[in-house]
Amino acid sequence: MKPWDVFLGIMSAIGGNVDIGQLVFTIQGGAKFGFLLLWVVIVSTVGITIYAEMSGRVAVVCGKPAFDLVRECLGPRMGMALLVASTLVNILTCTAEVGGMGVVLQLLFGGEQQLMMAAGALALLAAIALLKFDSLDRLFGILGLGLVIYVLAAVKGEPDWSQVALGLVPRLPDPSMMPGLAVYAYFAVGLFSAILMPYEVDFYSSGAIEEKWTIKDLPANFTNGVVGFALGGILTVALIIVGAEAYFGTGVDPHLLGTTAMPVGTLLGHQALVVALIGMFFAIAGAAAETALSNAYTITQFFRRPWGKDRKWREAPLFHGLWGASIALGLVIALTGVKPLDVVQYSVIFAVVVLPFSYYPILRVANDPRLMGAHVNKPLIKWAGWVFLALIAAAAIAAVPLMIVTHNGEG
Amino acid sequence: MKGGTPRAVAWKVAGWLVVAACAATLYEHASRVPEPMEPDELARAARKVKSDALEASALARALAAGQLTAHFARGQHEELTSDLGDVRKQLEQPAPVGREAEAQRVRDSAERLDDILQGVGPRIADAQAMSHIAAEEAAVAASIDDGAGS
Repeated sequence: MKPWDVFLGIMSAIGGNVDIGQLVFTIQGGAKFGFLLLWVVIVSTVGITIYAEMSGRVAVVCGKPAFDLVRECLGPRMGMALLVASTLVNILTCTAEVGGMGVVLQLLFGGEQQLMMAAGALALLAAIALLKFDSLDRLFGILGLGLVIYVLAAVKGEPDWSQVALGLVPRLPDPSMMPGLAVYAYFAVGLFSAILMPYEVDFYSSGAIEEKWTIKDLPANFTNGVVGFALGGILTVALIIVGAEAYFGTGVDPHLLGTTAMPVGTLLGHQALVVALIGMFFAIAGAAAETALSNAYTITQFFRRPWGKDRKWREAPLFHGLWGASIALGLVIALTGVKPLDVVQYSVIFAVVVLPFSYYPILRVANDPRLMGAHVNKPLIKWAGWVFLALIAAAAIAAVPLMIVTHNGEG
Repeated sequence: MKGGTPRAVAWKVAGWLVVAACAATLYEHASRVPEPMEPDELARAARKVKSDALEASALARALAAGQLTAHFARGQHEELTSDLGDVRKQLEQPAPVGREAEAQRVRDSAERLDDILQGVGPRIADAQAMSHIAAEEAAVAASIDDGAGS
């Protein structure tokens, strides 16, 4: 892999790092708890970096993507249950992303929201159908870099940096000031899940095989994983800071997509708002493409059917039919009038329930010296992998009860 | 063995339990009699109306300052109006016992906010009008503070 490719890979990892779930949970989290949830971003970013790198390494060494391992590790019955759950979560996520694309297009160009959703979905179908895998990944990732404007907005807002630094240390909210401990826990779990969404690892490991990585590419995989996700984490931190600066203590609950973009306009002006919306559109569209393709990857890999974005339609008809059907279904559900940001809350919370079962097979194989040889997990990564799996399992157990108790974080 | 292995029987039992639970939930939903909303529900609805009013006020102020685009302003007002419509529908439920006056104040505030939002469209290019609207929307938010808002 050439240095230029590594650079583009890192840039697209930053731009492609944020999806609609992160936009919602970061800005809302900042609005409700100020900088208190920043530590969750750091923990989750370390987690996704470790697991994404691990899934890429396993895919290269064993030649098997994540869902192939799921079937082998969990067995066909449990694997099938996970496949059904993952597919439902991906469809929910895809619905939220397609709906979100329509909302952002309307905020950019006006017109009817439903029409914009249909236009966005058609453009997405065309982009996936016409572009090669690496071009597709880079197009959305690099144009999603418009979101970096949030970093400028965060700095322009002149936050109290000592409070920002304090937010990086885990601590509980003051019960007298906040919406309550349960709501805090709900947002911590939601943010954790939004950053570690299972489709990301499925997509990353399948992408390693799509792009024909070899053992020689493992250092680039490491660089992409560590640098790309770490810089993406800075973007996520900036989103929380902007949410806190704009809305903390104001009584505004930013539950509309436009509300997450408005502070960029008020801090940097209307041109910056347009850049933020363009970045938001491509980041959300990229995530929609990833969820749709993840559905196609997981189902075809589980049933051992031909798969691959760059394969011709007649060589992998099920694969190509599945990603198209995922977007079409997402559009149909979004057109019924469900609010994308309501859907995303459910998709993020249900995703965390699926997470441990998606991540465990990757860790198990990456820890196995017989399968991985010299590329087996080093002791530190092995230890960190288990710690994160335990955290993910705890979040999975707490997620749905917290959603019910807090009325989706409304308190 | 007729009926299948113990595992198959367990799956069948689990399946029937799920069906029974779904049927019971649907029956409970269908046979509901009119009930007042919970006090918590009223408080949540009031917070939502207040949040919408504050957000609309911030939006109007930003428009007056020339910080937003035309399509953004129109789209966001449309979203706010739709969101407020959902809360107003929620507020159509009977008020919690003993809190009828509070519920009515929230309903009135929601209606006033809706009227203001409906009138924003033709005036989004008028900075003075937008400043005035921002003040009106802030007043709606403040009126909820005085009532059941929090």
